[in-house]
Amino acid sequence: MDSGTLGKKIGISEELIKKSCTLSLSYRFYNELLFHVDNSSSDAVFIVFTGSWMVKEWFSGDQAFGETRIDSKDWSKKAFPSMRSIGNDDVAIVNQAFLKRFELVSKGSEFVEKVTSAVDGKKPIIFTGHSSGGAVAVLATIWFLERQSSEANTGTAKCVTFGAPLVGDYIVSHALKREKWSKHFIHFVKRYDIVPRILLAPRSSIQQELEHVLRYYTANGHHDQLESIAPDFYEKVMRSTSFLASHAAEKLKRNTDYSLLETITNFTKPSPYRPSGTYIFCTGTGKLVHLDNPEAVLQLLFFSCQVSHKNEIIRSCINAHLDYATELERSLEENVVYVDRLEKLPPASDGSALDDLAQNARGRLCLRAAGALEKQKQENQQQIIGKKATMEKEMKVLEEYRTFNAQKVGYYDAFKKQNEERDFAANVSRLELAGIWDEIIEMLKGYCLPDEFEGEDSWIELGTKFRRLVEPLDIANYYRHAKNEDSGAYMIKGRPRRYRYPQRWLEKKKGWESGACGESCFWAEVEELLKLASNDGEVNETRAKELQERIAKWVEQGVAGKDVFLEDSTFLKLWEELGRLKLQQESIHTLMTKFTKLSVS
Amino acid sequence: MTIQNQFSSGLESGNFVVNSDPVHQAWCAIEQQRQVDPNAEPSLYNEIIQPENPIVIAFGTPPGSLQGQEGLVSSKDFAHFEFLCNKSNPVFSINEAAIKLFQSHYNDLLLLKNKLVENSKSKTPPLIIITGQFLGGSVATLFTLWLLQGLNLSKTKRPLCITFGSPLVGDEHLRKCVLEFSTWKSCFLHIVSDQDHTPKIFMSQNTTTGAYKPFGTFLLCSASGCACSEDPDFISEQFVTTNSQTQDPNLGFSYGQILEDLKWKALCNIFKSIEGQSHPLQASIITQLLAIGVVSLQQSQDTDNLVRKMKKHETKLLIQKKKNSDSDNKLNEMKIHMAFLEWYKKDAKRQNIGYYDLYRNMGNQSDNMVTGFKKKLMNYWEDSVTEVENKPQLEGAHFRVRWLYAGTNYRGMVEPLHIADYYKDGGKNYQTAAGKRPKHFTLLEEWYQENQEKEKKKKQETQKQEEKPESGPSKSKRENVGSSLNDDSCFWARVEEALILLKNGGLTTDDKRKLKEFEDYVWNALKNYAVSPEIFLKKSSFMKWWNEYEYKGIVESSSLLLDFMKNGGPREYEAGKFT
Repeated sequence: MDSGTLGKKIGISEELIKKSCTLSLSYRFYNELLFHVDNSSSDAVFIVFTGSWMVKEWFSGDQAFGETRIDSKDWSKKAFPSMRSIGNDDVAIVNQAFLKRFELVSKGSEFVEKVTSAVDGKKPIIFTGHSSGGAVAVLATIWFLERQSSEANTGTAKCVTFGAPLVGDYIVSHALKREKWSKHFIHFVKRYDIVPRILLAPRSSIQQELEHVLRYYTANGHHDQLESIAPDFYEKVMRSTSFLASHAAEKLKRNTDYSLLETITNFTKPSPYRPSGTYIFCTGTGKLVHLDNPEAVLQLLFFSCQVSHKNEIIRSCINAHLDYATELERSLEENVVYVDRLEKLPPASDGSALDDLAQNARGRLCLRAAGALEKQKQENQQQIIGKKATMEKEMKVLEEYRTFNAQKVGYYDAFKKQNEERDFAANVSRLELAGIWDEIIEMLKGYCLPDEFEGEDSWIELGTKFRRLVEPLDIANYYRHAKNEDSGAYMIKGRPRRYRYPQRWLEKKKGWESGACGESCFWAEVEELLKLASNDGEVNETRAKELQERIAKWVEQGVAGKDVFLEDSTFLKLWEELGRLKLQQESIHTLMTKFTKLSVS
Repeated sequence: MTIQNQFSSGLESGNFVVNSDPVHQAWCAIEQQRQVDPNAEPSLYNEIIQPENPIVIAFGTPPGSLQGQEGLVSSKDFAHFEFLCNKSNPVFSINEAAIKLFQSHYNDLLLLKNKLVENSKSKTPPLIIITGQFLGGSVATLFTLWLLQGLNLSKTKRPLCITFGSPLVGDEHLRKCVLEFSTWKSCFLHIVSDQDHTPKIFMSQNTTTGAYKPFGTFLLCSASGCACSEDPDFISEQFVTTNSQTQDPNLGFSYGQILEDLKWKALCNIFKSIEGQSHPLQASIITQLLAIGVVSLQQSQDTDNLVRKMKKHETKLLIQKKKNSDSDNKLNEMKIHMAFLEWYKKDAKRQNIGYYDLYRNMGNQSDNMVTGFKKKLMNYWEDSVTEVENKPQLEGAHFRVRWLYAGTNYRGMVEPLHIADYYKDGGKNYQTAAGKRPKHFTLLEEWYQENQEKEKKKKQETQKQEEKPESGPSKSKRENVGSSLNDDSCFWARVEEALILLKNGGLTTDDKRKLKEFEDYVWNALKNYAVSPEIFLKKSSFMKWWNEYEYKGIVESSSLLLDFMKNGGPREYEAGKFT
């Protein structure tokens, strides 16, 4: 654990934090306004999001927790292209009501204008908000970063929220880390503020109480029924928080594959929402505790709000939401405690500021387990890095093999024929590489590698090289053993994840649509069309046309080998069968004339 | 083995379970079951169906004495649970009172089961909770096992069985039988309070106390909190703890209040900090023991022993989990060995001999290497097949088709090598003599055949009249015959047997009949493209047989095979042009 002033660590000065807080709190009840722009500071432009105080503005749609897929609408799919898990091909889930509110914001011309002029003015932008305004600020910041990422001046945006409810699921947190955007998000949460926990409860369980509580906030602290509602509200929200936190902690701690908890979650679903970005907990004793491990934040959202006596804190947990200014004023003077190396956190309290938030052994063990998971992910990555040398060695063998065959039988067909000892050696190299990559993919599937992994250029490059080099051999092997007869076409039944994942990485990096980087598997389409043609079946005209166009493009770009056009290649066999489907005017025609001795007419 | 950061998740599971809906829905159903009109015909269970909620089936405990029914009954003496048995656990035992109660309501339960199975096939199958207190919980457990057997768990969600204060229902064998179904144990939650003495009722001095063994997850509750455990030894110990207090089981201990208390406790910061514990696993176990009231903060020798045992159990689980994830790596290693053998086969063809005979002659350095690969592959597949075989029938049927194809490929490649070793050492009757053919080959072949039948049926059903099913070998089978393996992995054993017959000086009529049979077998295989053309290589055992067979003039002049062999059949065959 480390301490020091906050500004340095998170890249935003105490002054700007205080100003964010003041602005957020003063604009939170401006209901008719969606956001407000403040240009009064010379150091930054503040875009302040106002709060929404109706239950339907927190929970909408028919899902239990008011959630929706971020790609459920066309505009949001385009606005948040990075909010997914790339290899696993999973899309982030976010709160529908907050998404809707941000849609209103972004569709007004004023918002885009103000943001553009702030960028042009070279001033950093701070997106900020209190309560649900903070949640909208998060979406606005992601939207901004998505548009800026290519221009690489992302350092200029920050998102600062106060007592904001959670916005998205674990994929949002995963994607923010992968894009290296996590540090742009700073969430202040007061220990006993119930609001950041609200979305962990299903709407049906808290609807009535929430209505009263939100009305209480807008009525400036005057409400008769609050006294009777508060205990129920606290208990229901905390029950759901406990349910989710213990579910997450059980997964972190357990030593088995299957568990009863999976059966039970079929009956009672925990909330999909998870913390993301950086959290700064206000202990209420004048200290600030900084955490950036989302699993640990989730545990702390529960443990820090536990009470010892039923009546002790319950009313203040509702009031705590309103007053961030005083506590920040006091705490920002003090040093901040940075919690890292959670994997070494002792089960008994050790006198640090974390003691204020999690005193008991159970809570501390959960935090430690969250740290241990992160550590384990790092170790898994190290273990894979340790295999890089083997990978390079085997890929070199295959590259030489490819060069050797480039002028003769062709890379693909030589391997498919398996006539020579070097073909066999290539097969062993293929299998060695497949083993390592399968292991990597298996880890990605279970999120057992650091979130950053799929965004790292070195891995995208290595994956692309591997895919282009080895996948043709896998296809050759598949059709050599006629596995398509037992199981079906390679692309549908046989294509291993070790090629699907790296293809998606590259497509994501380039911002291309899915399927655009299919150069490593065109041989499969050749085989399928050939099978159709030689069984006297009809070859689909569109498929034939598309294949020819794509091959020409890829050969010209140098991502597929020219050995496609060798005399004995499987492609030539298909070419012979195509008949009237041969393209006459396109580049494939030119290429064929150039590379083959056959007459093309 | 000590792992730096290992934990135990009992407290988290406990808090999760207590805060989940099903536990409370189950308890409500039990209370309702009890309130059913006492004058009405007593029924064993009550079914509660509410829209948007799971179906809850609550079993009651009929009044009456349980004296003399504390013991275990062997599964040989009752019906309907045979499906649980597997090879290593052919028999298990169940508590007499529980099975008697089950059997006496068999007809009702059968109707209920059929209805639930039928429901599960609907588009949106309902979730099912099966529950009961005391002996009612024991019957709920039996009924759930029985129901699981009827459900297709790939299409419907697992049911959840929740018992309250139920005695242990079966022995160690039952536990092991249930564990063989990989996901079944996660359907059982048994809630037991340390204040409730009824679950211990069968643990009297009259019965052998060690005989009962738990399965599933136990939620152990005390005045200080709760925690879950799956450790059978630890749970058994909690049941054995003697207590002089007697309690009438028919009164029923109130779990409702206990659950409410625990729900509140889960939110409270009541757990004390523990001093002097730095190892996370040790600390997690101690916090659990504190929660279930087994130990107090003052540690003693007994506590140390208990903690040590529990640590060992958790570590064992973790090692097993690691082992499961390592098996993929091993599979890849086996693929590499297979690639080596494939190359060996190709190389042998070039030497005009075929890999069967090349290996049988054992002339080369590389043949020794092959022996090594063969051994490793056989070990791997023997283990793999045994594992599948030990699964009860039901579960075994779900093994992956890909695995079976890999096994078939392995059998085609490696069994000939095994046959070569066998006959080289002077063995005879590989296929016919008992115990000569390794069992995993036989099983792999049987499973493959079964699967082929199933596929064929499926195809026929989907094709119907639209297409005529292909007759004879497919085009690609003919085209690829050059690189294929023999369909019959015992082909070479048949060749060896035919050769042995020929070696006998005077051929009896019976010998001749057998040789003719073999000839017909070969002819049939050729027609189906079921053998590799490598059998025609000059130096192969098959050609040795054929030459001798022909030379001795045993072959009839009208023989189709003779015509084939004389008129360039083998070459046509290799090219896939023979029809």
